Amino acid sequence: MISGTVTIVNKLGLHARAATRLVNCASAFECELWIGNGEKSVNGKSIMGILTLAASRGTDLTIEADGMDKKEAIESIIELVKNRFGEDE
Amino acid sequence: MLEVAEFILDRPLTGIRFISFDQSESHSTGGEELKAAIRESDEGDGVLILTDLIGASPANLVAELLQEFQASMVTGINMAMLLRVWNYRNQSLTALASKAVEGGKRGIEAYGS
Repeated sequence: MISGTVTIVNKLGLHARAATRLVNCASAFECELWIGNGEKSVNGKSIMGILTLAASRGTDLTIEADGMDKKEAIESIIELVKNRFGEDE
Repeated sequence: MLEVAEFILDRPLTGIRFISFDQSESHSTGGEELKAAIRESDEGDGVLILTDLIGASPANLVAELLQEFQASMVTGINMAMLLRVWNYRNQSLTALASKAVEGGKRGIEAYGS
């Protein structure tokens, strides 16, 4: 298993549509993914799981992955978060 | 609610129907619109019906129809429940009902003091 961290920078945080984009990104990979906020960690391919992280702007997310394409998966998710989930602000 | 769910998921929620319950349509009408919607929605594996308030008219009307159709009902619909149901829509009716309850509960948390 490998892990990475990224800080949420978009204004609205990890809101519902952002969670959908994150799950769509995660689901493109075979590996298992977990997204964490503090002590809470959830399935990175579950919209409801992601939403329960209640992660607003400034939150440091941890990403853990295990599987063949784990490195690419973590890189893609970090890029998505850094790019504000494709949002303007 | 459907529009918001479609906005969140960024896709049309095909196969899900929303029915408004008109208070002027009492039980005496037999819920014809509801019956028609159940028939049209059933692709052979049954229909899950999500209602708002347990014990309220819509839920009671649906409860009466459960014997007549291959259908299950879960009360207390919220957005979390709807998203959960959509994500697991290919599961069996029994499993889907469980997912609905689980999703609805997961969507309720208290924050602040």
